[in-house]
Amino acid sequence: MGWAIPWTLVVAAFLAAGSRALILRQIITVRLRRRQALGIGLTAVALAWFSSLFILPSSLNISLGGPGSSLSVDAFFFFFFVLPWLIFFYWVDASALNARRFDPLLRDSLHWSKARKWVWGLAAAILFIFVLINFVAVGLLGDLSNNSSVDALEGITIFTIVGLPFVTGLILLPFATRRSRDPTMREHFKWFGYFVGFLGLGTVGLFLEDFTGLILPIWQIMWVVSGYWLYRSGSSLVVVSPLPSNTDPDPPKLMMGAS
Amino acid sequence: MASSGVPALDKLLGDGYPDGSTILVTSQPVIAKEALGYWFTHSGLIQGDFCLYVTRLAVRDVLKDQKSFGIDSGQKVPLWIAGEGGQIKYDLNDLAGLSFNIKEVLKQNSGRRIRIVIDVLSSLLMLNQPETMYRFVTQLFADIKQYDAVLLATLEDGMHPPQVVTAMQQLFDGIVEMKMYEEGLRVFPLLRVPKMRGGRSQPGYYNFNFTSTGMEVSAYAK
Repeated sequence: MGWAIPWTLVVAAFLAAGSRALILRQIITVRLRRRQALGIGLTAVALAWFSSLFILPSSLNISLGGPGSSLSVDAFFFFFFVLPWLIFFYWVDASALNARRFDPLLRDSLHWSKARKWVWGLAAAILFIFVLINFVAVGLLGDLSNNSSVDALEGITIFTIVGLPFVTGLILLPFATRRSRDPTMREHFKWFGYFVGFLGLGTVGLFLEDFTGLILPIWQIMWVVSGYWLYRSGSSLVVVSPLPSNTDPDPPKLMMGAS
Repeated sequence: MASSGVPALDKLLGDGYPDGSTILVTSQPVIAKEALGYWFTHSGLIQGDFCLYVTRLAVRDVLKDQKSFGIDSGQKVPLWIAGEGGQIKYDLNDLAGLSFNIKEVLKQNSGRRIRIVIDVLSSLLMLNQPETMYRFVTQLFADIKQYDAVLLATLEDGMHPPQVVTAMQQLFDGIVEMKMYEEGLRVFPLLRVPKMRGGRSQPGYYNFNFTSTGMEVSAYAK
């Protein structure tokens, strides 16, 4: 039960971040920025879902897809591990394209507008191989867990799925941030960087707990803080002004209409 | 008056933008101010006006963006000065060339009503000295007045020093300002027309939202 409180805070932080980003997405009218907001929103929801597995009663946990559920371990792995990375990649792609729009010289960092088609193609191919190994081949040939070549292929697909957004983000986004003259975009990247940093530290800490047996709430707190940074990142997509006190001295009787 | 292409906005402005006027649309990057340019051009093409669209983007990107607002011009297209795919190539380092090209287009179509949309103002302001931009803008405006054309330009809010934005706002005849506001937990966009020389300004605030068929505008009420 000692785990429940920090993990509840983690879930709350990510739910707040997700709902804020998805609400803001509804009022954003620029296509690429809507995609960025969707990327943030879905990342937050995926992390909230994942974190909830640590606090839910085991019966509910199983029905939601936790380990031991009717979903296979591979399906669990797919939903909680593979899918968030693809969402992350979706955000990286939208961010790079959008940042270019705010570069006065319209520079195509690393020819991303062309390269992205190939990279998405690679992601789709890797995903196809992943699904083939874990769902189709297992269904047809039975347990393949002792097959070393299948294990190696699976390792490569997982490594690529994780590496793709990380590597593209790491190479592309510093260029995009430097070249974009939109201060809101820079803020957005800054908060997202903090989010990744804190989430990474928190995750490494949780792994270390497994090895050392030393249980410290600091790692969950880092997850909570990363949720806050994700909230800031989502919020920074839209700059809001406080409503002026005098919004309309004499509003004319208007009007609804569309062209 | 030249219709804005949005009936609700026309009503607000008193039938559209005044002839021979220069209109500045400002908003933060999250609001698709370009849509006002799309509807303005679309409406002009339908009425048989000559339309010029100046963009640093590729024509295909602008057309794709237009479609997301439900605009499909079909065979009727403006003359493009664009970064890619236009009849005239937009060169961001050649301000004099841009000025010359616009003047030539105005001259060649002097018998018609002309509409011009420019979405390169923000990038030009970042790349050039204020004095150079001042000369460019005043020359452009003189040409617009001479040929009784209507110019609509977009400017990114929050990307320029306040004095630059103020200077631009003083130079233009009309300003359409769109901003995001927050009240409690609610975030919503509002529009106002603080200045419209030769037309009707609306310093009060209006709700607006983009739909797949156009734009809806309604009086803001708390």
